Amino acid sequence: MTLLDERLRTLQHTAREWAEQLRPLALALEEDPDRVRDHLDLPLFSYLSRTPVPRAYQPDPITVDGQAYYGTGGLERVVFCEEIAAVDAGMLLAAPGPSLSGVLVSLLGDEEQQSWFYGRLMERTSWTFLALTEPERGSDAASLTTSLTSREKDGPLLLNGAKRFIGNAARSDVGVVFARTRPGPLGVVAALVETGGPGFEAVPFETVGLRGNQICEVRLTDVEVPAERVLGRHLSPTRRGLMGAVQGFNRLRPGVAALALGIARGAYEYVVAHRRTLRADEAAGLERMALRIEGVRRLVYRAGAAVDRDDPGLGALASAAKARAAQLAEEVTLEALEYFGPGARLEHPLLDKFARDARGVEFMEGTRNIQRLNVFQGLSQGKIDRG
Amino acid sequence: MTTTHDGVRRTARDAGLVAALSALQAEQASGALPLGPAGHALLPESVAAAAHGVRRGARTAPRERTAETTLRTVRLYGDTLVALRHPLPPGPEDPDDPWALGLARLRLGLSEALLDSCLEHLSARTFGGSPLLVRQLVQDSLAEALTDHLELGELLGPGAGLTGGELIALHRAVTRTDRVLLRLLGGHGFRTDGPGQSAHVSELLADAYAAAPAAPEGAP
Ligand SMILES: Cc1cc2nc3c(=O)[nH]c(=O)nc-3n(C[C@H](O)[C@H](O)[C@H](O)COP(=O)(O)OP(=O)(O)OC[C@H]3O[C@@H](n4cnc5c(N)ncnc54)[C@H](O)[C@@H]3O)c2cc1C
Repeated sequence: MTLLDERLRTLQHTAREWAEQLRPLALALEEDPDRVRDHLDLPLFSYLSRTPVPRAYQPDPITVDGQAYYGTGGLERVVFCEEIAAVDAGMLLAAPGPSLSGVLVSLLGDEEQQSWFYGRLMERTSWTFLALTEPERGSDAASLTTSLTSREKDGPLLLNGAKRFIGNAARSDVGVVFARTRPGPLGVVAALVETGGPGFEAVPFETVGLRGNQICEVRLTDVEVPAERVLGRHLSPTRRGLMGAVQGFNRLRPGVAALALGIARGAYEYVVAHRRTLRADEAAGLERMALRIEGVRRLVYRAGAAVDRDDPGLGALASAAKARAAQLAEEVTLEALEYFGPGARLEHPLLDKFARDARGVEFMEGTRNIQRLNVFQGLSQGKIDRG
Repeated sequence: MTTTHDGVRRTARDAGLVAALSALQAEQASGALPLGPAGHALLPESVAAAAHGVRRGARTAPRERTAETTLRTVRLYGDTLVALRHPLPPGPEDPDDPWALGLARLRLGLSEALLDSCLEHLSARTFGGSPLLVRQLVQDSLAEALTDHLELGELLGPGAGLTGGELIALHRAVTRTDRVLLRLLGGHGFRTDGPGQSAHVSELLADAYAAAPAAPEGAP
């Protein structure tokens, strides 16, 4: 069983306080995701805009009770994400900072790339994005067709193609884009891409939930990418291509699981806070809900700890946690509404928001089916320590 | 008649939520706002605007615009729906309210349309070169949804005599099936300009009209 040490409990406690400041802002942010700009001085956003950044590139880490936090730990990430999502997952996804790209840059970037990327983000607060999904394929990321090629020998690399469902792309200065330099599994690379130049177009579209994330369509037309911005130049083609992406996503997935867990917990806590007298069947239902939440929390912690240990079972553990957490989020948010009778979704907009947000976490970092296939792989390859 | 047992389900499947809801209102609550058990209504904006009375089962009353609260507007394929709360007309609760039955048939029709959307979407999308429809996990979910539809279709067919509690259970089942189908649509079903928004509004209809009462809040 994974338990939290003193340092992580401090972070948990602090994150809970920071999250509380968001509660009154959640619905307004939903209405207009750009409102996040009005709140960037909140401590939550200072933290998120400066994490995850590896120690070597972070001269001025966030410090709480004398302890420094870099946001790079797996368990650290899940503990933090759960606390914020228990209040508003949209706000977490609306935040500027290295976010998803940060995890990939720390994994695949060489020293110069890391220094460029993190240095830039430390200099001024800005958003980042991570673009893998394409209009024609999501789960089948390995078949992506966005191309990164040069038209003539020694000419600049040009990025061409389209991406879809890319969170924060329209307000980012820089992000990581997956593209193909040639056919085949070894032809996939991730590159750091600046959004300010010609040919980069990102247009937000509306979603049923998680609107803070401002999800976009991205069109890439001859976007110039300097050769030194292709991540993993110092790695072998196997390690920098799809394999690198898989490793990166394995490390990100526990965080998404924690997001889903937080949504479920938020809905549960909403019921506890707003329903004082319960029928016996309602009390029993809440007790079951609490137990399921705790069970999933253990799975999520285990996946987070697997990141920190470089556990060979990480991929499968992260998938198990993510699939279960997304299911929990959907089920608990629907059940929670039933505690408020007819018109609950209209009279309790925050609870309605939890239920809509829950639908979205199903797709982030891979759907339930894809996770289940990963879990089976972990089982068949004996990668999961089954005690 | 558009809303015989099959009519409203068919209209929902073929013409969508707004057309079916307008037809159901015209047939069962013409000129009135149909209210849910706690006084909620969710209707296309123009239909709501024209209503001069309110109705809950067999109870009716004139509409009092000053006593009602607009709670939300929702957009769906270019239409706007409005959600509001109005005081209930006086009188005892009607045990078999045809509105809730019609609404269950309507939502079943929408769920069937969602299955149609899935088939279309998944046959055009591929993984490793073959359509997603050939994946067994996908087939499993589709088969599950179809079986749910068949079962619900039997229960909601001609002559259905269902209690309020039973209807609530059937509405819950439609929502569950919709969620299975929404997962199959992937991110596409999370956009507000597509079938996922219709499923959301369908859930809102169940919430306004067919949710079980919570225990009354006593003193702490
Ligand atoms: C809120 C949100 C934020 C997102 N943020 C980002 C982002 O920042 N960057 C980014 O790149 N992407 C992002 N995405 C996209 C996300 O990664 C994709 O939605 C996800 O990978 C699923 O792809 P898809 O939507 O194309 O579904 P599809 O791949 O079309 O899947 C459709 C259905 O088929 C099933 N399926 C697919 N393949 C198989 C298979 N082999 N076996 C069995 N079943 C299968 C799926 O489980 C699903 O039910 C985001 C999505 C959402 C909703």
